[in-house]
Order: sequence, then C-alpha cells, then structure tokens
Amino acid sequence: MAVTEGLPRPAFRLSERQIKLAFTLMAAVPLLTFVLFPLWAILKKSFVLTDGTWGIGNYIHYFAEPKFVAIINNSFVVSISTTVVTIVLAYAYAYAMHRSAIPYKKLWMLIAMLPLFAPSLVQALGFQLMLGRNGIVNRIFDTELDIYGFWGIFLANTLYALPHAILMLSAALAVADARLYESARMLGGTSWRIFWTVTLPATRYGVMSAVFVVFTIVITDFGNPMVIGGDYSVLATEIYNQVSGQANFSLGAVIGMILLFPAAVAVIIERWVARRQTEAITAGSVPLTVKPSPRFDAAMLVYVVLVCLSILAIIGIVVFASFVRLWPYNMMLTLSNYDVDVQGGYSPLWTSIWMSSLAAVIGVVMVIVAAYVIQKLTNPFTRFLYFLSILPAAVPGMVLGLGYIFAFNDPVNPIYLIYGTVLLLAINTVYHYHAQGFLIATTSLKQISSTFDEASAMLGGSFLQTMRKITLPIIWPALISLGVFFFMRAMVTLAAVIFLVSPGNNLAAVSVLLLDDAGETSQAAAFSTLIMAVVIAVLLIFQGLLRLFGIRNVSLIS
Amino acid sequence: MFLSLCDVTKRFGHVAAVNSVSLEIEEGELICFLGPSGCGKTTLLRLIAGLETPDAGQILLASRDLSKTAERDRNFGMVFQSYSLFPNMSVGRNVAYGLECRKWGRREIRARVDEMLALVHLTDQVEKYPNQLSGGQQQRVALARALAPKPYVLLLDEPLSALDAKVRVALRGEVRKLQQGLGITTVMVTHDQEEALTMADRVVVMSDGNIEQVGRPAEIYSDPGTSFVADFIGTMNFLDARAGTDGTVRLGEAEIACGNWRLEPRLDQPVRLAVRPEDVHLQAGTTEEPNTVTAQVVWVEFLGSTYRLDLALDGDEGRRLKTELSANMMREMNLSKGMCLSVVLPAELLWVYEA
Repeated sequence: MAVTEGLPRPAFRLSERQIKLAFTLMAAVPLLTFVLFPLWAILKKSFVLTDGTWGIGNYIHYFAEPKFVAIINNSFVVSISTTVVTIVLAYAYAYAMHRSAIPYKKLWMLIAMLPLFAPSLVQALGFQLMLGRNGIVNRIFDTELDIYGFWGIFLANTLYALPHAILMLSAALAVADARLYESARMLGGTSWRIFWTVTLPATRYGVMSAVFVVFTIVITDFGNPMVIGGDYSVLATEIYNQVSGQANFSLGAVIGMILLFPAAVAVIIERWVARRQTEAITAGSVPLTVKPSPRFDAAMLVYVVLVCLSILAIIGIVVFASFVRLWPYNMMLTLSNYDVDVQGGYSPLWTSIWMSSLAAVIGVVMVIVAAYVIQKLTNPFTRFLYFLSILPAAVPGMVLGLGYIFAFNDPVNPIYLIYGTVLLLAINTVYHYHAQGFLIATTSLKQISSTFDEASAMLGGSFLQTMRKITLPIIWPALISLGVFFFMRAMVTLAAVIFLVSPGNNLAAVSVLLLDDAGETSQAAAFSTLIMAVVIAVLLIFQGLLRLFGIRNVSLIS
Repeated sequence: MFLSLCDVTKRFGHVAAVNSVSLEIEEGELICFLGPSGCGKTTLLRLIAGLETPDAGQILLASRDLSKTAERDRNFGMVFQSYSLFPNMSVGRNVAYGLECRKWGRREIRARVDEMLALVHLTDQVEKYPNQLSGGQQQRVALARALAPKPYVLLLDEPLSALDAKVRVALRGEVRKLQQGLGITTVMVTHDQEEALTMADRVVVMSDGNIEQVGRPAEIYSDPGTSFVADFIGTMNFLDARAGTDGTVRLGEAEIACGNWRLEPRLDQPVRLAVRPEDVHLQAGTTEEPNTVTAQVVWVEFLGSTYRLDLALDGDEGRRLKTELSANMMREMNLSKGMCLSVVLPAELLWVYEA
C-alpha cells in the first residue's frame, strides 16, 4: 500500500489546537469575569474603610456590635433547625416514593416539586396568608398566632427546601441492591433493623449531601426571611438592609463575606461527600422491587397525602388570594388584582420572561462549553476551570449580586456598557446557577461513552466535527432540560438580581417583594400566581416537545 | 517493515503498562496481541492508534515516525470492543462518517458505502439504526465503517468478545476472510487464545507489559518459549524436578531425558518440567521403556469423546499430572480410580524451564 503520498492533512493540526484553545478561553474568560472578579471585588470592598484606607476595621466594627453577632446566631439557629426537619421530612417522603407500594407516586412527586416553581418568597406569602396577623387561621378561630420571625422563616424555608431534598434523597433511595436486602432478611433481620443497618448506611452519602445542600439553600435564602422574618434578622436580609436601606456598602460586603463562609464550607463538604457516593452499586447488583405491605403502605400514604395537602394549601392559598377583592376583609372573587397598576404593571413579568429566555440560551451554551472543555480537553487549566465552574454553588445570591455592583458599576470596566441591562441580569443568573447547570451538563456528557470520541477521531473526525455531528445530536434532549432549568431558575430568582434591577427593567419576583412590602398582598399573590403559571406552562410545553420526539428518559425537573 | 514499534514504553503512574516493546509487523499480515487482562495488549494497540502517547520509543509506519501525527491523521481504521457505532446515525451514515471527514464527494461516498455494506452482507440494513441491529450485525457495521476510508492499518480491540459464542465463531472466519481478501495489515487484541490461534498469521503473547513470545500459532503452541507462554496457551503440566547430567532431569526417583531446554542448567538446579496432557503415553503395568515414571489414577472425569485423568506420580498426591485419554483407549486399558500404571514422557515433547 502506498503510504508515501503522505499522511493526510498535516496542516490541520495547528488549527485543531487553536480551536481547542478558543474553546478553553470561551469557558475560562466568562468564568473569570463573572464569577471570580465579582468575588474579588466584594472581598476587596470589605477591607475598604469609610475614609478610603484599607484595614480590617469593618470586620472589627461588625463583631463589636452585639446586634450583628445576634444576626449570625439567628442565621445558624434557623438554618440548622430548618435543615434537620427538612431532611427528616424529605427522607420519609422519598422513602415512601421508592420503598413503599403506594399508588399515584408520579402525582405525589409532582406536587412535592411545586415549591420549585415559585420564587422563594411565595412560600412565606402563603404562610402569611394562612397563619399571619390577617391570616385565615387567626380570622376563623379568632386566635392571636404570630408567625413573623423564627417560626415563619422556619416553616417557609422548610417548604422551599423540601423539593430539593426530596430530589436528592430520591436519587439515593432509588438505587438499591436487592441481594443485600434478601440476605438481611434471610439472616432474620426485622424491617426496622434492616432499615438501620442496610437502608440508612447505604444512603448515608445521599443524606449528607442533602444536608449540606439544604443548609446552603436555607442560610443564603433572602425572599422568605424578607417577607416573614419580622424582627428576626438573618445575614441575607441584613446585607439588603445595609446596602439598599443605609447605602453602607462596606458593611454589606463584610456581611457578604461572613455569609459566604458557612455556605462555602457546606459546599466543599458536599462536593467531597458526593465524590464518595458513586460506588454504591456494582454491575452485578439486582434492582430492588417493592413488595406491598398493607399497613406500612397505608401509613406512608397518609404521610405523603398530608405533606401534599400542606404544600397545596400554602401554594393554593396564594392563588386563591390573588382572586380575592381585599384579603381578608372582602373575600369576593375578582380578577381586579390582575390589573396590576403599581410597580410598572405587567412589564416586570415580560422582562422576567425575556431575561429568563436569554439566561436559558446563554446558560446552555456556557455550561456545555465549560463541561465539554473540562471533560474532553486535558490541559493544566481544566482543574482550575472545574473549581471556577462549581464555585458559584458556594456563593450566596446576595453576595454575587453585590459583587456585581462593586465589579461592574464602574465606567472604566467594559462590562459597564451592559450594566443595568437585561443582558447582565441574565448573565448574573446564569453564573449564580452555574454549578448546578454545570453538573447536569457533565453528567449527561459522561453518559456518552468516551469511545464515541475515539471512534470519531480514528475515522478522521476533528474536534468540531465530533461535537457537531455526534456529541450534540446525542445530548440535545439534555440541552433542552438544561435550558428549562435555567429558565425556571431565572423566573424565580430573587437574591442575586435584587441589587441589579432598575426601575426600567424590574423583574417579576422583585415585583412580588415590592408589592408585598407595599401591603398590596393580593396583587403580590396575583404576580406570584403568574410566575408559577409561566414556569409550569414552559415546563409542560417542553415536556410535550420531548414526548413528541419520543424522548422519555429526560426529566425536566432537576 | 510496514509498521515498526521501537522500544515503546507507556507508564500509568509508576506502572509500566507497556515496557520497552519492539515489534515488526509486515504488510498484509494479521497479527494478534494475546495475553491476560492487564498485560498491556490494549494499551499497545491504543499507542499504535494514537489514542495514547508513548512515554518513550517510536512507532514507524513505512519508515515514517508517527509520533507527531494525531490519531485522526494516521488513517488507521479501528473497531472497538463495544462497537461504538454512533447511535444518532443510520448504518449508512455511520459507514459514511469517515468519508465525510475526508471530504469525499457525495456520489463517491454513496458508492463506497454500498460497496462496504455488500462486503459485510448488510446491504439491506442501510437505513437501520444501531439499536435495531443484533450484536453481530453491529460489529460488521463497525468493521465496514473502519474499512471504508481505506485505512493503512486495521486495529481490532477485542472485536468479538461481546458476542455470543456461536456468532463469535462465525464472525471469526468472516473477519479473517475479509482481511485476507483486502490484504490489509491488521492488529488485533484478544484474551481468547482460540481466537488468536485460529485467526492470526502471527501471535504476540504478552504479560506484564512485555512481549513473551512472537510466532506463528502452531509455534506458539508446540514450542512455547517461556513458561508463561506454556502455561497460558493450552493446558500444560508443570512438574518440579532437578537438573541431571546430559540433558536429563531427576523427577522423583526417575531419570528423564528432555528434548527442549529453555535454560542453561547447573547440576542439581531446581527446574520445572513441562508436558502437555495429550503428549503423555499411558501403559498398564510396568514397562522397561526409558523416560518412564509410575503413577496412580486419583481422579477420572468423563468429557464426552475423551476422559481426563489426574495421576499422582509415584503415588504421591502432591505431584499431580493431568492427562487426556480417548474413550477407546480408556476402554481398552480398562482404567479406573486407584489403579497403578506407567507413564511414558516422550523426550522430544518435554520442556524444561527455570523454576
């Protein structure tokens, strides 16, 4: 065979390398600009004193003030209690979903996910309407229940974090090796004993992961404490008070750094645990099939229905209140609350939808590029890129938003050109949720056998050809689900964007907060209902589209 | 030489998966890397493919150094163990992929795809998707896809190991016929010795990243160069012995002449005497023939057309010898468990290795 005519395309190698470099830069530059730089800016700001000099004075000032130390204490107390209760409730719920033979599991799972479709202040709004001063309970039973403060935040955030915890624990409980259970039973273990010696140990990593994720969600949450926290200040709301109320940016930065610390620790531990999680099931495992057990199943069904009723009650009361003339005095049904006449009317909703669509597109592209580069290219950069990609998981929305002010509200910075635009809001949202999106993208890329890449390369396919003809066509359903993920998050996000919205481009979730703050509870409820409706509609449309293309194994709720 | 490996080394951490391997591969031959899992055979194939970069050494194709040539520019065809057909493409598009990457014209591509599918008898499956095909069909598509761009070398990574036993045997012959028809230089990796012995022109037996022996299948079987090869290929008895004088070993009390020495013996040095079960002659009672030891039957196993017998040499249970006997012989000799007999070890079929 004539090999002498030369091996094909030696000139191609350089451009191949250039393409890879371009992709690496495409992943690295935005991460450096929109994640690392704002964090650096807020860190720097926290050391700038009122007279413009540098020092740790802000921190000394903060810790010298008993009021501020109490806020840290508040944050931890409410976050830890919420985390413990949420995990227990969610474990039982996920257990019922995967280890009992109750009917209608899909329906129960869907209901449990409802709180995900609403901004983190809607749960508080619901509890306010239910148990608040003018809540249904106090009106009907003529009681004097006071929900504002610890209990309000506790209840609202439990509801808010529940779906996240259920999703994670479901994943842990869904896989099980039937052989273990069979041998445990053969050895004479009682159900209770088997639970403690087999089930719980097998899911311990899942539980630990869920604990730290829930803790991070709760301690960084802003919307619920804002609505229902009353005098019970927590770190996230205090940042807002300092920055928006008193324009004390340095103190805001200090509180941001203090809030960043526990969140970062929790995320680091969670990542460390998650790495250990994967080895639970081996190739020889036999999937567990659930056998009916009437009494246990009945108990589980009662529990699941109770949880679902609570969720439906809180979400439902918000929807109901949106159709009521003047809560709670005039319960006549009306559509007048949907004639939103303050805070820019409907325009925040359109802005939100526009911003969320932008975030979906940008998010999918950026996250898939980052995941692709980190997984397929090996250069010294990639470890650092991986760190940057999951770093946002540890960054509370308030901190990221404040960081954007310090970093980009500066005419010298080229990003200033888009400061105050919807584009920057979308970018901010993308990088706020970058870690979760990145992990989803990485998982779906990993599901493609690496031999496809090798097979393509052996056949002469270049990096770009492989990506365009093989990788993308295989993972497009995952890209859709990724886009829906970013859209959903962008519709309900509040903490990060609260500092970046301006009257010209207000967002729906912020509107709810402002309406509620202004005492327009019914209109706030109407706006919340609209947000949920949009999110659910988009979810249904895309789920339908996927079905149309015969794709059933992609879940849009993640 | 068409394809030359010169002192090729690949380390993973501190482990040398391929340890300074040199090999010459001739144009048009099918050469087979054979060895247990972890012996480095797949790594060596991936080094040739360009999917791994050697830490040292050179790989030459027709005297051209390939070290600066990326896998996609080598023009080597590869068939993977898991087929690796692109699930989003039909059979036809899978086969066309390499041609599209090489910017062939539309009409040429169609003609070549038809030609290749005819070659693997899958012309009627062109519109199907990989998940609609059986394992054997998928592997034939993978073969057609690898061969379509007229590669210089065909690389097969355990190509048949994921298939049912029957399909495997049928495909073995088909692949070999195809390879000989096209006269394409082929490197195949397998852990299945039957596959290697039936298909290959030459077999490369590997262990621990080293080449143990290179040779034609019959050579490898009948003249194993190392005790590893002797043990790995077929069944082999190893008996502890001591070197004697004039090409003999002492096996228990007996003095045995041995035809094949794989070491320079010192007198009384411990050695391993190797003999294949089918090369042992059994005789009832005692005999005066040279190279004879006495033994007792300790185990009889019926295998259909043959019997397997385990013998204890000199009645010592610790020194076992496996032998094979046809059912006819078994009847004639009227053997059963516990009987004593004579075992003749033919000198020309005995190997001596270092202990």
